[in-house]
Amino acid sequence: MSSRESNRRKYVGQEVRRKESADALVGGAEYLSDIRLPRMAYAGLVRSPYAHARIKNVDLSGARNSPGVIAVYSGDDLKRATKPLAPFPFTAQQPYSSKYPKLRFADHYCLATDKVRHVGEAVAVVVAEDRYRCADAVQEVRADYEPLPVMVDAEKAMTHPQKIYEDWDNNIQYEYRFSEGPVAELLRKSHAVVKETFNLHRYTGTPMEGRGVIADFNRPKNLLTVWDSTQIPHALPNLILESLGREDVKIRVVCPRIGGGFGIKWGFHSEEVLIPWLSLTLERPIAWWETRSEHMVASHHSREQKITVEAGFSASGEITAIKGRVIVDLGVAYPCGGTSLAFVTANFIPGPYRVSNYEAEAYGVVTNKSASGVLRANGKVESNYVMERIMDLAARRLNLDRAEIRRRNFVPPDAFPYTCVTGSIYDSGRYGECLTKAVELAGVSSLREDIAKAAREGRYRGIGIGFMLEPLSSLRPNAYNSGYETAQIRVDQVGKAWIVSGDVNMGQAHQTTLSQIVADELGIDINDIEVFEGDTALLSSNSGSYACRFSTVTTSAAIMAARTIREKMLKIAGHLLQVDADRLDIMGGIISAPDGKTSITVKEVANIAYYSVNRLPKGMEPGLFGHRFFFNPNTSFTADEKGRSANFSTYPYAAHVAYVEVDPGTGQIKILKYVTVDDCGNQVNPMVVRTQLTGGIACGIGGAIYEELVYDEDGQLANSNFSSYLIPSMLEMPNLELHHMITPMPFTPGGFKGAGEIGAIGPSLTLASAVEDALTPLGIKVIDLPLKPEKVWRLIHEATKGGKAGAT
Amino acid sequence: MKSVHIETTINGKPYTFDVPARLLLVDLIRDKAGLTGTHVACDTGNCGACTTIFNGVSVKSCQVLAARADGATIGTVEGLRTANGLDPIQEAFWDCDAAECGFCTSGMLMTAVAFLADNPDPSEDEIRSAFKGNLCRCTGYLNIIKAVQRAAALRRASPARSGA
Repeated sequence: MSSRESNRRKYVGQEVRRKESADALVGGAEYLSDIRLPRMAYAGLVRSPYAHARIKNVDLSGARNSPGVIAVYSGDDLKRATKPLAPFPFTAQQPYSSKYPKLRFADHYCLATDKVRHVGEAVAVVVAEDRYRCADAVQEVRADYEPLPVMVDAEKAMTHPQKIYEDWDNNIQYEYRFSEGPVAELLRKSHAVVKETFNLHRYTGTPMEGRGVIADFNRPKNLLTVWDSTQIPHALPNLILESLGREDVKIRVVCPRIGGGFGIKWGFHSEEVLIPWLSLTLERPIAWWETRSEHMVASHHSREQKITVEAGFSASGEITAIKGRVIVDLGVAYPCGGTSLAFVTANFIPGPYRVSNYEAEAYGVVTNKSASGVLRANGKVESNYVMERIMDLAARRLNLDRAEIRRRNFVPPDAFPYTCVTGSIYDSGRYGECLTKAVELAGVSSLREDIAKAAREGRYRGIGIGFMLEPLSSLRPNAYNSGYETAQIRVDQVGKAWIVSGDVNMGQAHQTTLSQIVADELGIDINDIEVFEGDTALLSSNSGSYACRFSTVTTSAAIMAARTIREKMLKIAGHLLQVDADRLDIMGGIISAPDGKTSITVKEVANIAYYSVNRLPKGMEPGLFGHRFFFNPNTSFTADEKGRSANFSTYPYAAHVAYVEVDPGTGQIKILKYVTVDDCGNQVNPMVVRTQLTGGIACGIGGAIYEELVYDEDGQLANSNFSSYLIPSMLEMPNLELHHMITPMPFTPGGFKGAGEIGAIGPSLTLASAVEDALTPLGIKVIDLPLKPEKVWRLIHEATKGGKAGAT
Repeated sequence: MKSVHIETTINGKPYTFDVPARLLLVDLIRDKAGLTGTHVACDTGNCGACTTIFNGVSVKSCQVLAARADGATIGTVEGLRTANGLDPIQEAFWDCDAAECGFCTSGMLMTAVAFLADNPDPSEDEIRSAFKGNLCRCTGYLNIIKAVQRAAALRRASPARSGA
């Protein structure tokens, strides 16, 4: 960075208070369910109580006669009027073929037609004048079902003759294979082989605001406006129109303020077609937002995988080869990101380690559960978990220190950019330094004395250490609508900047951080900037808010757009001031020459750019406008001959150390200390980074210990509200010690990598490591998740054959 | 459907409604009074996003019938700000980055109002216990704990304000 560039950094790196909080703190933020339109009617869905059943009959007459009801429709009505839901573009890799990855799609209409395939699948919709009468009428719909055998085990479903989709030859929706090097031979010759099968449980991001859609068809304008609590507004116009089978209407999708997403709103859902169809049909604004119990049974879940890893090690702890088998329980085959779970997990099991010989097979298997979409750090929570467990177990087997075996295998700092075995290109990193720092800051050596003391008192304390690599800013091979982002900026006639990006505002402080970045580029005050996001009428395209794409790609497009404007402002100023434009700088809204005396304000230049165009340099177009696109760096759209592809642009990483006590009587885990060192590259706003990391860790702790969606063998979800599905409260959240390293992303102008997701990866692998360490006297291995008290207690109980662990 | 007549005070302003007897207080506040800063996130009284101050006590307004509002005094997030600016609780939440998506924030603020009125100098454990019925999915709570501590300090420094 030149000194002049660093002078320009007034806001980036500062702990600026969030712009977004200004309205949220006074109750003024407008979320989807706060929108009221004249003549707005409300839709309610009738949902299946069966996990798998043939629909014999749906009797709508009672609902039609219910007070306040405007219309009632069943799946047959929708099948006649619309097309199946369009395939999800982000996973539309290749048609099902002999080549890998194989992927196929199922025909789902926005209401179930002949069959229901999970509890909560909608079979009918009621539209009424208000939500109360809508809920009454939903109760009046009589649907008759003929129950069918239910499949809830993905591994069994792979070979089971009972098929969930009759026209498929089996229950496998997605299949991917990868092979590099003589893996079988190397495993055979390895000094030690660690092999485990991990059962990772199903849970959900369940944001505080559920999903919702409002549609308003304006016939005179032939314009359908759809307000949607979604992470992918710019993907939806295509998907909605294709699913409606309509090309004759214009469609605008608008994201209001979003009450959290976490990946659950990254997907294509049936209501996003149904509600627009109702508005087109009834020519009234139609609103629907889900209840929490609807959300739990019918919105996307994630994380459920069965992963087998076999890893070979040399006597000194170097990895020789890895073999992985990944089975993802997809639930039903709705258009969402679930299949990418299998792909991402299989691609990144080798993680931060130098691995040259790797073989993987991955399957996405359909079952009679709600669809599995994505969730914060999608597939990477799982890939890092299994690899870190393997590293701990290998350390134990080889009698090596857990940090040391990792350090012996890390990709070294001088190897970047590093092409990993499956083809992705890691941008930068200092992994060993990060882990060493975390171990030192946690005071691991002094904690050992504390553990020995606790042991003398019959208590089980232990230290968990974990390292995580998070591939971010994703691109799927052959998926369209991905691989770049765009931003447009306009400086108006009074010198204020208006930024439009296609991301969505769901808590990541985009408006604040984008304002910080652009204020520095333009040399103006941060309060002279306004940011608009998530409105397809304002911007041509964007692939959505996921995988921290904002930090890497959107900020880059915004920086380039701002620089386009900056150059033009300097040219105009140079022309007016009779100074070479290269010698001018902008600070505090003033463009000045090195002498400090010759100057002109941004406001004056802006006014001239629009209203005194005769004063512009000869031939220059009026206006101050920048609209730029930025490609995902270091990615490839197609796989090479070996099946390798570069799927992510940037790779932040972190090390976590946890100190815990396990109560052998109850299986409860108490987190006594939690220390992290992360490297998310340059930080736009360190306060926001800390908040994002903290929230990610809370999500990770929830998934590690408390949150589990429990399906019984009949496919009934046992916990569909916050009384029984436990997300961490303030009582469960430990205090954290967050530390940072900064290794800038080398391939973007801002050097940012993203901090929104990596926190979610650490807790499960670090706490599993800590519990295993605490229970060392009992020789317990921690393999499966979650670490619920009941499950930890069972591990202890089995290891002590029912005897009291406290007595050993 | 039976209708009930309600005369109530919300954020110091009188309101009169005739509403169905089964209407929930949160829907009275959001749909009839038009104060959409109070949110609904769980429908079961677990999450606290709908917390309001009802006759001086924090209640989850999705668990109360609107009919109970007759003769009552209700405070919502919209009533926290005055002509002099934000309440210290709001300032503290802002300073401490205690709101991300913002959906739970109104409920957190209202719980803080009632809690700090009872306990002007709380310990961290007391805060954790008092907020266990307010769920947040974004922040991981630690900034909210800091914000409540900071708000308490700000209020002790200038005790004039007592919130809704």
